[in-house]
Amino acid sequence: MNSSKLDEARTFWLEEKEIFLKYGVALKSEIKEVLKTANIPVTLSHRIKGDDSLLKKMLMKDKTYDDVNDKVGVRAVVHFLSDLRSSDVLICEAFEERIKKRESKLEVSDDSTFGYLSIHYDIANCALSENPLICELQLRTVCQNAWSELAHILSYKPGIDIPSDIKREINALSALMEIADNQFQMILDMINKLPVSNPVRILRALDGFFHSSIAAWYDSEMSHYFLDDVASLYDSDEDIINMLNIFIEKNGSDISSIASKRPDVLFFSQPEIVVILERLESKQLMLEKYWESKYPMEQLEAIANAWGKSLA
Amino acid sequence: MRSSIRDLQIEELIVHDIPKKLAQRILRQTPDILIEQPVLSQVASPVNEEIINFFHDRIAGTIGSTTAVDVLFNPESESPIGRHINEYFTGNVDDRILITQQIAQYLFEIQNAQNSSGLLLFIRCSLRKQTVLAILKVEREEGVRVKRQIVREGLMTFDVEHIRDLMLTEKTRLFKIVLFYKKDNVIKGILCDQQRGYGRKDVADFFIFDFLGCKLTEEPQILTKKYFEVTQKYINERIHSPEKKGEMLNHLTSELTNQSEMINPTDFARRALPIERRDEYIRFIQENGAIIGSFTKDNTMIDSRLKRIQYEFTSGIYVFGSQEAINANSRVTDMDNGRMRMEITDFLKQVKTK
Repeated sequence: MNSSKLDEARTFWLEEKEIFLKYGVALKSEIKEVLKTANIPVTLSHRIKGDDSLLKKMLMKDKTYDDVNDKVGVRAVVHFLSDLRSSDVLICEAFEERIKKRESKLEVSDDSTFGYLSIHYDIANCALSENPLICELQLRTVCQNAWSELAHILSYKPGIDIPSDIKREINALSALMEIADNQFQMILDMINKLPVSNPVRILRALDGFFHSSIAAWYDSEMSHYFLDDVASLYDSDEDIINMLNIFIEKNGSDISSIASKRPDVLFFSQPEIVVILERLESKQLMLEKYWESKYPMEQLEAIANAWGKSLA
Repeated sequence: MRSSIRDLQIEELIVHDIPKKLAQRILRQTPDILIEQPVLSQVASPVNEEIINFFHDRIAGTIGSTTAVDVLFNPESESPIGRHINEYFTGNVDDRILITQQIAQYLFEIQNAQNSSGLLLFIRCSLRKQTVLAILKVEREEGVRVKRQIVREGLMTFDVEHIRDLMLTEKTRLFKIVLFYKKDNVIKGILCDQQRGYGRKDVADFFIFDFLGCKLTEEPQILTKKYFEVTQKYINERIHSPEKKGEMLNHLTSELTNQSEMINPTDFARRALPIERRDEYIRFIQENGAIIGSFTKDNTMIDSRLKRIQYEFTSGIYVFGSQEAINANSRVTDMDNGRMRMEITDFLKQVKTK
């Protein structure tokens, strides 16, 4: 590749970098919304390729400017293998027309090979455009991501040529990570089959929404304390989980928007906020009585006010 | 409007300070005394997210409460506020400052020495792309001044952090709030005043009638009659135990005949109903067209019906009499299959055909 091509690419990139970045950010939001529909907890990040990195890739891999499809990239990290499979189905459905390439390393590798196992997609900003912007999406489990990140750090030490026996050690670790992924999935399946109390059942049902829309962490002890007698807030024939899901469907975006703006209202950073707001809307007086036995009334007043209601 | 307050976005805050008027007696005795004048902001007060959340919650907690009432401008009122508010909704930024100054000045002019000094806050908000205006009158104890602030081009405004602190401390008394919005080209209001009942012309009504020139959207006697009828309907349709029916009817008639000037159905539910019935009752009366918010009690249209209680049986038998006599001389007991036993212990006065 001659240097005038590289200079030309640099000029293109400086002109287009901002557009690619905007597309990456937009795609990240789209992915978040898609996975939210199935309440799949996900950690999303995006990055734009560095100027030098782009040119180096063109030079080393003899690619043209347009051939480089990872100018902007989004990474989606989910917890379990079951989340990965569900996310893959959802992404394929949602971006069917826009996916220009999909590659699952697991599907293409043979049964004696271990190593990098993410699913990659090249997603266009527009299905019909002849010259679309392309963003590379990487979908991984937490274990796959951990291996990938550490393997990358260890394999690319500047100035050191890693011998093949050490590379083999690194790849062997990926087999361990694959076993860990399978084991975590098996344990999750076993836990899901255990008989559970109401608080656990509710927290499990709220888990996906909470993690994808509000926060990564909450005080579990506080949740259990509030939910320990939650059945008394509902009629015996009411399906609590179904009611909460319907409430989230209708009000989920409002809850997450208020949660992000109101760190001063403590309960908005707890998953039981969904139960509190659902009861506030449908059985306020029952909730007030229940609340009296748990916390000071001012706390419920603060929640109600932030939600645009009054207890008075 | 009440159900969408969650989406209220606070956009602008203007604060004016209205001093207390001096009594005529003091003015006569000390003619040279300096008469305090309103201190009027020349620009909107700067606000931050914390302040925005604070006022959002204050508005939601009052306008969204069951103590708030719907009001309209009374065309017969002499107050210019209706006209000013109409101009406010169509004006630009500078107009808005001027209009709020005129409103504050009018409040000062019509107040007398009985009215407390206070701050008049104008909070312009948007709610689902519609402009709404909240006016708060915050009373405070004498001697507590708010901090003035000089902002751009030497214009004066008030320090809102300080106002927030004042509103949270005991030095600030209850506040009155009205939220104006436009619907079908008519300006409507929701008003909450924790100091008063609504409907009687007394000192506490100064804010709603004299100052704002508003009237209640619905007449108290209509609201009372509707509430009475819907609650009776609830008793007869939803409560199956004859014993409990009698108990709740007693609660209802007591509520309507006690000394209180106001009826708050939600508070009534809290006091008179078992916990599992409360939300159902509130939903029922709402679905049947009665309001769940507070209203002034006016028994004019139901007075005669409150004096007598009637039991009507499926067999065609009727028992009726004054609540007092029935409570003193009869006993109702639940039996199996939804039947009841009513025992009357009394002296027979006469028996006749009818």
